Amino acid sequence: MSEGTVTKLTLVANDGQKMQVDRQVAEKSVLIKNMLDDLGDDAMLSAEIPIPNVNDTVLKKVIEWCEHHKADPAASNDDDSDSRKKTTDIDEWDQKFMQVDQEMLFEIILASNYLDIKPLLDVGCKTVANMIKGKSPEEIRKTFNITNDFTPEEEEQIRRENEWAEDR
Amino acid sequence: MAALDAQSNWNVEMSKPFQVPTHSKDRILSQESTPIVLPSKTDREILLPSEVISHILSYIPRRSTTQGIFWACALVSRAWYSASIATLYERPYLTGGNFNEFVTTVCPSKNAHIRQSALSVFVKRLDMGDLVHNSSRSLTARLLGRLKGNIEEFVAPQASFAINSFAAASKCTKLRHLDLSLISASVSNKLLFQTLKSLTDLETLFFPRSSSYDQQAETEPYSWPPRLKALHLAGGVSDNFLCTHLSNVSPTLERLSIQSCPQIHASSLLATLEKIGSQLKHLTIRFPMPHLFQGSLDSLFLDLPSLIALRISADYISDTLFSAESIPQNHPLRILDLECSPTAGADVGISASSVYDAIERGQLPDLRSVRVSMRLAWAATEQTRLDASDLLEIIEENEMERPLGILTGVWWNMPD
Repeated sequence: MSEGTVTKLTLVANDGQKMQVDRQVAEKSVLIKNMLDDLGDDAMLSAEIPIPNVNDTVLKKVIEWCEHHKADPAASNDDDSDSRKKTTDIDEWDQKFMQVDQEMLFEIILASNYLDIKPLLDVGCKTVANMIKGKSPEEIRKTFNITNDFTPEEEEQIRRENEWAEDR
Repeated sequence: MAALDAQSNWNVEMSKPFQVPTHSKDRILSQESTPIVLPSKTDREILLPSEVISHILSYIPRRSTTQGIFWACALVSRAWYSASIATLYERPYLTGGNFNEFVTTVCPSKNAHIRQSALSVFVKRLDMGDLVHNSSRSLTARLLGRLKGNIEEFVAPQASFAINSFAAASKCTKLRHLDLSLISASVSNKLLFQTLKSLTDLETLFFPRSSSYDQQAETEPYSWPPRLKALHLAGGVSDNFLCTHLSNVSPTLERLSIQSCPQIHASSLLATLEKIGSQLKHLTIRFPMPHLFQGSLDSLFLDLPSLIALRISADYISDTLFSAESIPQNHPLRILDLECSPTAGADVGISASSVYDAIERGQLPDLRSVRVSMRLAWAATEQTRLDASDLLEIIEENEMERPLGILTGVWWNMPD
């Protein structure tokens, strides 16, 4: 491990855009970190790392988040307890960061899921959770641009079966 | 952790033991935290994988107030339905207003063979505690019959629970939590223990508030659920029940609460604690217990060497409970709750200085939380207030020296 020496990695988004990123920043992604561990530093530092599922704009946004949080302590694995899950508090910087359009919000969630950046995935999911409350099914679809793929019969059955749980 | 939830247990009634008002602010329900929603520019639908939708929903606590959120999510699309439906059914919040609709969904037909609802398998907790006359005896039994393979928690309704319901309950072999405290009809202990026989996973049991002692006292001890951790007794349990049956309770039992038992005398209670006291970590003894008198439980600590939390009505103890001879050295007690019945005489009282002295002598080095009913008047005079703040001081000093990480303090104005 070359502690202290900042080394740069080159990430390539799916539209071909290249980005130079500090190793410490890129390692917020467990996917990239594992690649580095598996392939060895030499191979990785000279090569370009393709990120096939993420486009340039989204990757930039994700890197912006990683930059800001690069000094955060790594979350331990057994941290996935209930007590942590229940907090829907989002820190102020992250709240501002997440003030993007719905499409970008979902793109960030997908990218953090793919790149395995758990704390960013958590912030994204909390943001969506906060947006769901108080909305009707139709409003949720509209907000997140989700197609209603139920057949009319299915929807009718689901409505009937779950009537007991509807807020009235 | 176990100590902590005793901490929040002050306002708890027997029937609703774990529905403690959580003080953590529920951000998800507060209006100001709603993020601004900007519309998408391109109108392109982005599909989230189901594990991500589940992750989103994991941030919404399953409460009565969030039931409608899960309902709405189930109606959004197929992917959202799959991610939300199990949580929606896991612990349904049932009231007089929605019970019948719930039953129609979960057990649509009287004839079990006609149609098995796919949704019934999701139900893990059935709480009928808010229902009064909405169910019927046969319906309760039928509902339990449908859910028997899956439910882990059951709170019996006040009415509409009878012998056939016990038979159905005995088949709910995955039950870990059984609360019969609301049942208003009198229940025979023999029948109750017959039901318990097959419930080998049971960890928490609330006795019916009108459990009745059987005409012919059983001399052969009942067999207790082998994993029982918490037992809440109330109603018609007798001295014989304590001495013959409770004395033989499973060695896993850690929490015991006894309240509203008009037939129990101090001698049998103490004799029972002598036998099982060393395994207990939490003990609650609450009024009304008319046969116990002031000071009758003063030797309690001697039989409870592992006790972490004690909640007791001051009616049955005196300052002697905290005297040098009454507490083993280095007792592990962390939480002390002193209550007081509304009918207590003027002579009932525990002084802050007696608790202080016990800590000073090193007998209660781990005591961190002392909550006292306002009826014990620790705020009455300059002197009592001074005593209480001395107590607070020594507790805070001990926590500084040896942090236990639990809520530390002295509260002397607890309402009843």
